Order: sequence, then structure tokens, then C-alpha cells
Amino acid sequence: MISFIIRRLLLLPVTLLGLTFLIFFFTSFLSPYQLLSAYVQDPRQLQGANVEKLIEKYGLKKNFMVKYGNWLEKIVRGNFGWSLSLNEPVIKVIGQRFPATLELTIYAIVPVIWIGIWLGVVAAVHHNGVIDQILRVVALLGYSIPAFVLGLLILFIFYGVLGWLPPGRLDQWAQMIVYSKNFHQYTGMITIDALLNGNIPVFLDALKHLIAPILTLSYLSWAGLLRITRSSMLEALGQDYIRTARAKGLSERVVVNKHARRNALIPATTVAGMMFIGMLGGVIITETIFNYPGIGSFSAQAAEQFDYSGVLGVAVIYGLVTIIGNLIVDITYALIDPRVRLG
Amino acid sequence: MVKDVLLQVKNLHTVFHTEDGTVEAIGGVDFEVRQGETLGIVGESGCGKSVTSLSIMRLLPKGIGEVPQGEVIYKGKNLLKLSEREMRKIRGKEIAMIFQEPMTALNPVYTVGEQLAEMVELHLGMSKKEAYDYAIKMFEKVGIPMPEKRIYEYPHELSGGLRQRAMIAMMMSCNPNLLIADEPTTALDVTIQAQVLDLMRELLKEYNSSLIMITHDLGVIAEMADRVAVMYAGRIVEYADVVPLFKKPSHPYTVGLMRSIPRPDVEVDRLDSIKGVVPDLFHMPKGCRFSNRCPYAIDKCFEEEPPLVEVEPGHYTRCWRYQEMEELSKHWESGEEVGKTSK
Ligand SMILES: Nc1ncnc2c1ncn2[C@@H]1O[C@H](COP(=O)(O)OP(=O)(O)OP(=O)(O)O)[C@@H](O)[C@H]1O
Ligand code: SF4
Ligand SMILES: [Mg+2]
Repeated sequence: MISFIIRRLLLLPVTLLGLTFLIFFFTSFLSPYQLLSAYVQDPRQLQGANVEKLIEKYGLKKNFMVKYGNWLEKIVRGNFGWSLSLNEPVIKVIGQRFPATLELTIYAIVPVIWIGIWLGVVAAVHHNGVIDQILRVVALLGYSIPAFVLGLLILFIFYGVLGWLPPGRLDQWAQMIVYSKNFHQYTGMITIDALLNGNIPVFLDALKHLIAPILTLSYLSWAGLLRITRSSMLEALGQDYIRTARAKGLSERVVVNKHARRNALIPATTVAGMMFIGMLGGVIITETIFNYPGIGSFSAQAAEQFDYSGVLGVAVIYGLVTIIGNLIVDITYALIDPRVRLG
Repeated sequence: MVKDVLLQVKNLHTVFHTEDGTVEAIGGVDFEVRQGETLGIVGESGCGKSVTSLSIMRLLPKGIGEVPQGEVIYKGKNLLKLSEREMRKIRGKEIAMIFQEPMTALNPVYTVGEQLAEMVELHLGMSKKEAYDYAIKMFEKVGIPMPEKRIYEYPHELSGGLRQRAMIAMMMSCNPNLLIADEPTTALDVTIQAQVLDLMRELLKEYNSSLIMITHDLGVIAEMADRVAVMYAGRIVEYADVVPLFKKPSHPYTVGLMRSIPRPDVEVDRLDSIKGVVPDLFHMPKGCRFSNRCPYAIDKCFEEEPPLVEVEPGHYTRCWRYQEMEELSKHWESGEEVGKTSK
């Protein structure tokens, strides 16, 4: 098991190098003139200016590998360039916004995994029973509403009409506290920091802002996870080793929760991993709808405003998170299924 | 000296509720197993051997398989009347079962040692530590080399023969009174087969346990059984002690099975000795169930099903023409003419 993890970790730098290359490669489709527009804030600046000189100045005509080398060297040192859309260094934007997105995603995915798997097991054990039927209808409903429609509906009802769940990350008063001197930002995740600071009102305020984006981000996932757990659980329950377990005199609880579930978790893990990665995409829509200051809303904004370094920075972060996410999935997979550890 | 009857199956009927309607897989089966003796159940694929054993263990698929009629008397108690909780105390501890496919019958995600240990923890009240020590002892007993290492291996790390040995170790671990072995050697190489059978015989002798040996191989029966039930299409067609059965088979189906044992001195085309296959449950012949394949069938056979009659003390058969069998069995190939002339 240990050697499996070490092998995987050794692969990590190689994967990362490939990732950065791929990301940078896409920028080579742009002409130096297009790239230049990223460095220009106002078309008036170009009047009378020597365009060729500017291109020279920014090194936009150099050989691709040279440009890639320069860029890689910079990002390794943590210099992701200047974000034109926010007028801040990209690394600073990411530093502030990444914890916000992480907070949102963790709250969205952890309950999904617990509840989704648990409901899936229940649905399989009582398969074709009342609970199973209800869950099936609910899951189907989940599939038939796109995430952004649900997000807008939630925003309209719970903010527009009822005024319960405001957009953003914090109310004004809470923001004042969080950014004040005596509030320590340990993790950048406000709910956790608030608890660590012993500030319950801030905690509750942060939670209130999180509910709507969490629902929007996660509802598709739990329907999916429920379905896959249910079907893999049904399959596991039909296997010969389940008959053996029953023939040994084990109780139905042990048969289901030990012998069947562990096997059913193998496909469920794959799906949960894919879900996590899918959520990174969902985060863009969700954060934009709820005006939540995370990586997702930043990436939308950066793309819209042709914030070249912003987009590249976000792409690197997304790639990094995806790779780490996959690594976690692989390790979980190997923990559950001994047959994987060989390969 | 007649030994005590351990298990008595009386008029057992098993039905399956399928999508195409309800079918009767077992239609009134009677047999008994004495203490320390081996009953062989033999018959072609699909004749109901596995269903019989699953009915005894009450392990038929829930909601699909059902026993509407009959009794299974074990030590004076009707197992079919026990509560699920009482039945669980019988399974594994009093009556254990070994399945055909040792690969799929063991859970792939738990070590073989764990799968044995959990059983003795449950039935013998051992601690985890004691159970693992006991697992090493049992593995040693069934001839698995390096047992202290092997118990920590997963099923996929063992060869087919070792897996079946592990299965036997597991099922014998609680010293059951009765072992039901459903084709335990079918999936194994011939040499391994012989070793596993020897092992089972030794263990049964040591523990004075009874055995129901299910097989389609009369060779296995000849080697292991004291008494034999020949099954065909959900019925017992012949039931006798092993020596009289081989000496004087009284049912055409038994005769056919014996002719299909490959022997060096006689040249027979195995597949040809009994023509056709077991009829499916939806299309049972009206009279004798063997009539569409029997070379000796006469008109009566197609009209009326023969009863099980005692031809000699303790030797039963289900055939209208059993009295002529000794003569008839000499002419298997030309059976049809024999059938016509002797009408
Ligand atoms: N779950 C089920 N649903 C419907 N029919 C079934 C089911 N299980 C078994 N049967 C039917 O019961 C009959 C007896 O099957 P069984 O498995 O007992 O055969 P077998 O004698 O053990 O054969 P084999 O040598 O192939 O193991 C078959 O006709 C089979 O189709
Ligand atoms: S009853 Fe008739 S068909 Fe059936 S086994 Fe006997 S001879 Fe054959
Ligand atoms: Mg079978």
C-alpha cells in the first residue's frame, strides 16, 4: 500500500509538467497581436504607439519553447503575472479566493458522499420498495433541472422573495469583523476560522451565505451517486460471495454493510471522483450566480475580460486540483480494493 | 447398526416466481442423511441439485424462490419453521456449505483469514486474536503451506486449489454436523480434484460429520458416497446405497449416466449417451419427465408419471419399466426397438 502511494507521488511532477505545457500550448493559437491586447487597457493607448515595439517589449514574438520556459520559470517562483480584470497579482487573487472555493466544494461534496452512498444502500436493500421508488423519482427530478436554472430559482425565491439567503460570502458587518486585526485567518475558510476565533455570529452568517451555492452545486451529484451506489449495491448483493456470507450464518446487517457495501464502494468511488472534478466546472456557474468571490467567479470574469494571466493562473490551479483529486481517488480505490494495489 | 438420522428431507417443493410466471424447480424430493455418512446427489446441469441445497439452507433468492410445501427435519426440528435468527445459528455452525466456484464464492476485498475469522468470532465467540490464530491452525489442517502468511492474502492471490482449501477450512472451522458441498471440485484440475476430495474425506472422518456431496460426476459419487440420490428435472428418480446402485441401476437415466463415465475399456461418445438436455421448467413432458430422452419409453410413459417404488429394500426407482431394466440396459443404443417390441 505504501509503495503504491509512493509510486503515485513520484508520477506527480511529470503529470504537472505535462499539464502546464498543455495549458501554455493553447495560448500559442493566439497571434502576438491578439496577445498584445491582453496588455493594453485602453484602445486609446495604441494611437500613435509602435505596435511592433510593444510586441517586442513583451516578448510575444519569441519561439514558443522560450516563452514556455520563461513562463514556467515564473510560475514555479509563484509569479502568475498581473490580473488585468482585478488589477492585482494573480497569485494574490488565487490566495484569497481559493480557500473560499475550497470551503464551498468541501461542504458540497462531503454530505453528498455520505448521504448519497447511504441512500443508495438503503434503496438497494429495499429495492422496489417505497423508499426506493421515492428516491428514484427525486433523482429523476434532479437530472431534469439544469444546475443554473435551479440556482436562479433558489436565488429568486430565497433571496428575491423571502430575503433569507443573500448572495456574496458575508454580510457587511461580518466582513468588517473578518478583515479586522483581531480576527485571525487561519485557513481562509470563514466557517472554520470563525469557529477557531470563537465567533459564532460570523460562523452563522458565513453558513447562511453558503447554503444556496452548496445546494446548487451538489444536488446533481447526490442523485448521480445515489444511482450508481444503488446499482452497484444491487449487483454486489447478487454475487456468490454474498451467498457464502449468508451461508456462514452472518446477520443481514453484516452481509450488507460489510460484504456487499465494500464491493459496491469501488464503482461509487470512481463516480465520486468524477463528481468532484465536475464540481470544479459547476463552481463557475454557481459562484457567478450567487456572486460568491471564489476561483470560479474569477475564472468567468477573467475569461470575459480577456485577462490572459488570470485565465492561465486559474487553469493551472484547476489542473493541480484535478490531479490531486485523482490521486486521492486512486488511493481510496486501492484502500478499498486489494486487486488494484498490484498494478 | 443403523446410525441416527441427522437430516430428513420430506416432500420438498421449491418454486420460483419469475417474470414469465411461477415454475416448480423441485417437485417433491425425499431423502435422509445419517450421522457420519455421505449422501451423494447426482444429476445433469439444471436438474435442481443446487436449488435443493439452497432450500435446505433457506438461502433461496428472497422474493423469488420459495418452499411452499415440505419439511426439512434436522435433529428433530423443522428448519423451514425456524425464525431467521434461529436459522442463522444453524448456518455455518451446524450445517455448512461449500460452493462450486471458489473464486466468486470468496469475497474479493477481504483477506481469506478475515473471512474465516469472522465466522469463528461469531459462532465460537472467539476474540479477533484467537480467531486469527485459529485460522492459521485451520489453514494448516487443510494443507495450505505457510498458513501464517497466507491468512493475510486475498482470494485473487491464491490458486484455485488453495482457494477451495481455504473455503473448506472456513466451512469446517465451526465443526459442523453436516457439510453440503455443491460441486466442490468441478472448477479444479483433475489432480487437484483428487487431493481436495481426499482432504474432505479425512476431515469428515476426523469430525464425524455428515456430507451431502452434490455433483454431476458419478466418479466422485463412487469415491465418496454411502448413499446416492439420482436427480432428474426436479425429481429423485433413483435412490439407493452406492454399491447396489452401481451394480444394478434401475432407472434408464442412471444407466445413461453410467454409460457416460469415460472408461478406458469401452469406447463411448460421452455426449451421445443421453441424447438431448434437461427440459426447461416451462416445458416439462406430461408423463415421465425423462420420456422425451428415454430410449425405452413406451406409450404409458408419455401419459402418466411413474411413482417412486421400492425395488429392493432401500432401493427406490421412478420408472414404469424398472423390472425389465437389467435386460434393457444391455441394449442402450437400440433401446427404442426394445421399447417397441416389449410393449
Ligand atoms: N433464481 C432462479 N429463478 C428461476 N429459476 C431458477 C433460479 N435458480 C434456479 N432456477 C431453475 O431451477 C432449476 C434447477 O437449477 P439448479 O441450479 O438447482 O441446477 P443444478 O442441478 O444445480 O445444475 P448445475 O449442475 O448447473 O449447478 C433450473 O431449471 C434453473 O433454471
Ligand atoms: S418411465 Fe418410461 S420414459 Fe420414464 S424412465 Fe421409465 S421407461 Fe423411460
Ligand atoms: Mg448447481
